[in-house]
Amino acid sequence: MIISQGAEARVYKTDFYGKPAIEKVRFQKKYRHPTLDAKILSRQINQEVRLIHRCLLNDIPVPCIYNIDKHEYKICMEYIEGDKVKDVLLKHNGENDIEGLLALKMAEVLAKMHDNGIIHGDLTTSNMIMNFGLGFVSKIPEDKAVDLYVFERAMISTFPSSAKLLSMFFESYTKMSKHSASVMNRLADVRLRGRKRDMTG
Amino acid sequence: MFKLIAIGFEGSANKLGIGIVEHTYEVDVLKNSDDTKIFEPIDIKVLSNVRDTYNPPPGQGFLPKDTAKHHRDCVIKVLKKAISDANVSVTEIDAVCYTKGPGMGAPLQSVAVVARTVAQLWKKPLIPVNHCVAHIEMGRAITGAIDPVVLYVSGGNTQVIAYSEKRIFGETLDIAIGNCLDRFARILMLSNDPSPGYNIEQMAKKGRNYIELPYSVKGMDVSFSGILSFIEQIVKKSKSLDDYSPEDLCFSLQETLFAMLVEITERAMAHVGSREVLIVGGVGCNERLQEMMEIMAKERNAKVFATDERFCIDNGIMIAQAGALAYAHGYQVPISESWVTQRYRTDQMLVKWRH
Repeated sequence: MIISQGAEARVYKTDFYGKPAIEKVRFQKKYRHPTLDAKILSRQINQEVRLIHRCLLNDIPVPCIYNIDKHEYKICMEYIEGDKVKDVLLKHNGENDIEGLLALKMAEVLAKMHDNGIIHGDLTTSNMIMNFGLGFVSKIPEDKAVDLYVFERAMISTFPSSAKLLSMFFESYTKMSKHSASVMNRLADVRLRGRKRDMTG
Repeated sequence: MFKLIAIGFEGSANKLGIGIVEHTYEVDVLKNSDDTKIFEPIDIKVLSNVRDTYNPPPGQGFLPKDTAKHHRDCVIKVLKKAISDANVSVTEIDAVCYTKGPGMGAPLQSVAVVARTVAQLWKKPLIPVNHCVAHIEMGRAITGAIDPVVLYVSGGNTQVIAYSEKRIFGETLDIAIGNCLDRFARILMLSNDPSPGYNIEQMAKKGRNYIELPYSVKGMDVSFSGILSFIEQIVKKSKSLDDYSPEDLCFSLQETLFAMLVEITERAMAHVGSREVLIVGGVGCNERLQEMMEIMAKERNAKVFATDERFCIDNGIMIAQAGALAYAHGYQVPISESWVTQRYRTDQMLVKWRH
């Protein structure tokens, strides 16, 4: 059964030797040269698995990986019962205690990821843990700050009334991450410049 | 019916273009204009579109000084032809538009001087225009795209723009795609006539073997300079042409660069939920890029809008088009504020004709 379809992959619910599981299948892009396509798909799948593994080693809650099929570009992982952050926020819009708890939880996980050098790369409320395809490993405050900035922008564009949630989120993040001082300073700069460069010609 | 005729002067890079456009509006926009009203022209007519390109010898790029000289030398000839092609008298022209930036300083200045002069001679209002916004507006006018994700690819720019949000989604972190192609053409000593990119495209059609190059998409952004250095090393290190044929190199370079562009465009489309993609800018006339975009769009049930070289490559008519829209919404500057700037972001121009 298909449960979601993005620009890069389809996610199916299935079972793995009796255990409920999901299967994430990256699809080929016909516009790309086949050699290039294979290289990119294989790189993305490696990256995703490595980051999930790194999370597991560092006590960050992620689904367990059951199987990887590098020929069909499939990852089979544990099925986790629950709702997407986005759906929870939509359902409980304006309920302060639930939003507060969620902000705290998200901050906790993200602080832990960043302290272990894991950059998500595409943080939105619809793919908190599911999609590591754009993630990478880095210890630089800049990369972490951009991660937070992307998250902030995504939150504001999906939930215009998320200012309070965000302030709680940043407060908890600052408390929980060991390197938050440099990251938060950097974030101020990133916000100011908005995007990277002034255009020349 | 209200008619508005604008002339546009473009010279931000190696093309000097002058074009005249005629807009028809339902009401007299100049009398009815206030800060809240938005006017859509019911008809847009291209009266003339004249261009003269400066082509340096093979192996060289265009330098600001030489490019400015080219513009100064041929601007009167091009202006005369634009007016005679359009078959209008200068008294009928309502507004003089020119490129304010971004672009090369010296060529921008040399053309702005002419725009200022004719505006004073003819006693017409002067409208500075953002070059990138002009590209997008021209693409929209020609293709009829309504709310597209725009891929703007040229010698100086590489951006993915969500038109509805007036927001740059992704862009190059270093050099522009056209610059990457131009510089590779220089390495291979290809001719700059009619353009280096066109000659690479023709070579690439004969390429068969895909040579692996770095692939560099970072989130929503792309980076080209490393790919250029890499392919430059391949050319320099190979002892004979038997190692790698120039055709294969051109083919592989195009395949890699364009795949990166299509990937970030697709991601932007998924994000804003758009079913239209508009390709503008000089590199936008590359047929392979258009073809790859078509394949991507088809899989998403989306539609590709592209224009041909008359409107893709820098031209005067697009400056007139965006300038006419700005003028219709009450925008003009006095001569004392009619400066040019090398740096001018797409999201910095006030676009009053959109909410």
